[in-house]
Amino acid sequence: MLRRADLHGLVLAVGLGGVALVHWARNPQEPPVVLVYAAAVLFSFFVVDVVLRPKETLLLPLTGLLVAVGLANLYRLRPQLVAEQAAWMCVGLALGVAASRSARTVREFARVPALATLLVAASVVLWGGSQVGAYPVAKDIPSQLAKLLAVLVGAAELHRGSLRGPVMAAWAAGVALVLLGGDVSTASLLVWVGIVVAYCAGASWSTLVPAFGGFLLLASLAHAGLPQLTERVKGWVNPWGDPLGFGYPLVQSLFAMGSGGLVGAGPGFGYPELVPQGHTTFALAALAEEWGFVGVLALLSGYAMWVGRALRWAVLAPSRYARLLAAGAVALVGGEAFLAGAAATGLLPATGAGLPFVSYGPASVVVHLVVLGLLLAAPGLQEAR
Amino acid sequence: MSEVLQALRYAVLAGLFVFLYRVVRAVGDDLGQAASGGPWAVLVVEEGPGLSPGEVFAVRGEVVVGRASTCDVVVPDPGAGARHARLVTEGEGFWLEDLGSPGGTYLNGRKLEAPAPLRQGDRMRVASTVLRFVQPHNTWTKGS
Repeated sequence: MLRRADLHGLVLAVGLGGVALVHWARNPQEPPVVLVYAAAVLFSFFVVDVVLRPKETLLLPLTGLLVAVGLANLYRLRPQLVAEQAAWMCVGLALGVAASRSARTVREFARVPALATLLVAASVVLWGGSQVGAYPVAKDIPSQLAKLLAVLVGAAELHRGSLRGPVMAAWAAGVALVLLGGDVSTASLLVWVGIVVAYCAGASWSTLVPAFGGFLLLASLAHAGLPQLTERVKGWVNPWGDPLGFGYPLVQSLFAMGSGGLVGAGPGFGYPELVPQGHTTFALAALAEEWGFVGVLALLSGYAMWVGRALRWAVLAPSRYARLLAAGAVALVGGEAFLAGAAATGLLPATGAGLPFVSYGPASVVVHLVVLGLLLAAPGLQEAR
Repeated sequence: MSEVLQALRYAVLAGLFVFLYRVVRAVGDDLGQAASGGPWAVLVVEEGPGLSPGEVFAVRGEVVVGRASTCDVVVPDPGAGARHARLVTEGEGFWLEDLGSPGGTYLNGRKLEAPAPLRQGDRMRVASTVLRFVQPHNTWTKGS
């Protein structure tokens, strides 16, 4: 109890400090309403900790820290979206608690509806193009949902035995549809989560290697066929070839990190608004400019600890289902953080993946908090009779 | 940037690392517990019939002291009960509890009326056998 309150208190102090810095640097004359939003979200993490009393005591405060940094970054770059994001975080936490409580039920009923939803989700990714404001509703919600389903279906399907043909086919079809829709990050994550969960369930290399080969083949086909992907790869191979065109995002990202230096310009200072998508895909670069190497180091350590802590339950959880669930959750959050970090540093082409818990996105926040809820339930999920 | 903002900025950066340090400590505590299966200690024989002074019994989890051969710490003392007393883990430490033995269990010369926490160097007496409680220093456990 003491440990819980103590860590959450630290997160609250750091989070409010970061948001307050941005506020007083940017809009000192306005009332600091944003502090109320940030405090509400971070206090909700503590409430969830008290309500769920999870055996795993560190993941909630760690997630709280990531969320706090994300709110400070969002307030810096898109202040008008903070209230909305904070509200979605509370919704996500509530749904996470519900998912955590019903994780056992999910195991029994996940199979058929989940598979159907996976296909529906993938098809909407392919055909949906409608937007609400700047938010691509029909594109983002299904692809985020598909990630959650990949974790759930993987664990629910594989905890009883090995892979079945229809599941493999549905999974491959889902990945192909998402990839054809141009959403490389979701497609890669679906493959990654699928392969990790299957590996943990004991699948042989003779299944996994062809699966990965198939993905590479599909990805190269998509690269050749979809012009937006061709441009992204060109911008990655040589961003300086066209620094104002296809190389622009990566060039700005690298400049932002360079000008951040050791301790950064300070939250609220610097020019992170020059980084395209600084509140989503390139959040790491925007943060690097204001929080510096030291801040980014803290953020990445936060992710490393999150992954390490969750991996513990992929090994120690009391049932096979719970272990696979935890493995899927680790693969998803760790893989996404890696993709986003690699895109910002130029290690890999930009895929569109955001930093989980940090980047803006209603569906992303809700889905990741639900995954966190499932993960928190893993240590208590006994073997089914 | 004003001095106040400047100070707050470094405080926030420092706060991030204080938090991470606390998390690492907590992870370390858990690892220590997982690796050892909980805290452990030893009972060192000071005197007692059938035992040689300096003899050591390892204590981990729940340990029953008594004359019966099924006990974890067997004291071949005619005055001791079959199951005389027990040590139980509570958090990072151990508690001593009398199991309703006829002669009673003594802690540092005092008869035990209720379970009592054991501290480094405490002497427990079962009939005429005296055992000293020693908890080795563990880097992951606080206050020992």
